Amino acid sequence: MIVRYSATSAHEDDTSDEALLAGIALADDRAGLLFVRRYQHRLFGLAYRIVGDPRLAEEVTQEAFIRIFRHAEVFDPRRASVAAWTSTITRNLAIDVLRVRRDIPTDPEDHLFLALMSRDLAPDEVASGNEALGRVRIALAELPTDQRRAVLLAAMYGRSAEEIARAEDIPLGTAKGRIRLGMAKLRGALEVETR
Amino acid sequence: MSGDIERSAACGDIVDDLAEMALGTLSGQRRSEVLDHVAGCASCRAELDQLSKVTEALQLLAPPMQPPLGFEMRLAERLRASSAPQHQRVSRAWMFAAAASAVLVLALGVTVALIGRGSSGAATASGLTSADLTSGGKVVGSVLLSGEQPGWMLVSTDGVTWGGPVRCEVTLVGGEVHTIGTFSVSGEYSVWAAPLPEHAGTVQSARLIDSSGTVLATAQVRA
Repeated sequence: MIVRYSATSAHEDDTSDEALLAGIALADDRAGLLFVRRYQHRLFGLAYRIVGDPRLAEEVTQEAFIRIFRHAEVFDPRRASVAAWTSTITRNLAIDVLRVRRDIPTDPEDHLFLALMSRDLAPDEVASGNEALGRVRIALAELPTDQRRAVLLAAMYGRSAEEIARAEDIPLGTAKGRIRLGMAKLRGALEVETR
Repeated sequence: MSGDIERSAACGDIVDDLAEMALGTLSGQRRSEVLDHVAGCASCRAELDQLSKVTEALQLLAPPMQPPLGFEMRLAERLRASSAPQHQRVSRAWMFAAAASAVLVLALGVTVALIGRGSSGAATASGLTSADLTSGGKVVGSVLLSGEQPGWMLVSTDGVTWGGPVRCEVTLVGGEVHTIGTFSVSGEYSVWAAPLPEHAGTVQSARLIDSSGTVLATAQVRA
């Protein structure tokens, strides 16, 4: 007999993210397992794209889950979605790792940009009407290369305008301008939905 | 009216930094100034909220990836070891579920049929035993054995200098030696799992052997 394992799929379970977090805050093991299964691919994928190493990415993702569990009870759905909150925790941890290693990429165009462009929306995202992600992706592709690079260096690698200016050998004002203009265009893509 | 003019002038200075604020890359004194302003300016607060959503969207564009085999189990162990009370309550059922998941993935991937004796796969208490995998006196990974029936063993290696296919042998307490499988190792992080021929409690040691018969690494599970 093949070992039977009642592997409840996180995607088959319709418990909301917020309810799972509430369960985690109450030390509900099932909620914890479902939550991990629902988010591990997304968070590991994000961590890997930032740190570029599977072992480090696992460390980052595990630490992110530990922090998520620790702070589950203070999560405020009015401030951010669970997906955004967990992604931000993971991203910040990954950037911390990059900074400790002093291993911050200077050109995100090759691997990171291509990876972001390849992102297919998950069925649950399409079903939830989150086409805004698709619009942001298109807007990102349409940005001038300099602006896109500045935005990605800041958004994914946590680089400040000063660091970007030094790395790109451009005036600080130019770096800040690229970030500002790029973000404004991406914001425009999001606003179509939120108006 | 004069208040509006002052506020507008203040916004003009702050607006330039809202994007960096949303990206989390503004620091020090300037960050404090922007935060102070935003707290009292609905217009800039709304702008910052929108830009923060852009940052979130960029993070969500990263394509999901399958974490390495055994991820859930290692996470469960870390949560159990954590000092927070709720983490200590991560159940053995989760540990088993995560471990079973790892083995199930392996089984699906290499068509290994795990022969079970029970009538169901319901989680029961399973003792987990771990031991360092050493090579030349240096720790190069670990083995993790589950006491479930059927038992299984998870092998991980990290940063080894050798690579290619390796055979994994276990020696039972009675001296009997069994090959439980062959897998490929690289210098990067590698994880692999296989069912055990006997209960995990009977395993005394494990070792990895290359194609020429050289013992690459050993793990002493029981003294």
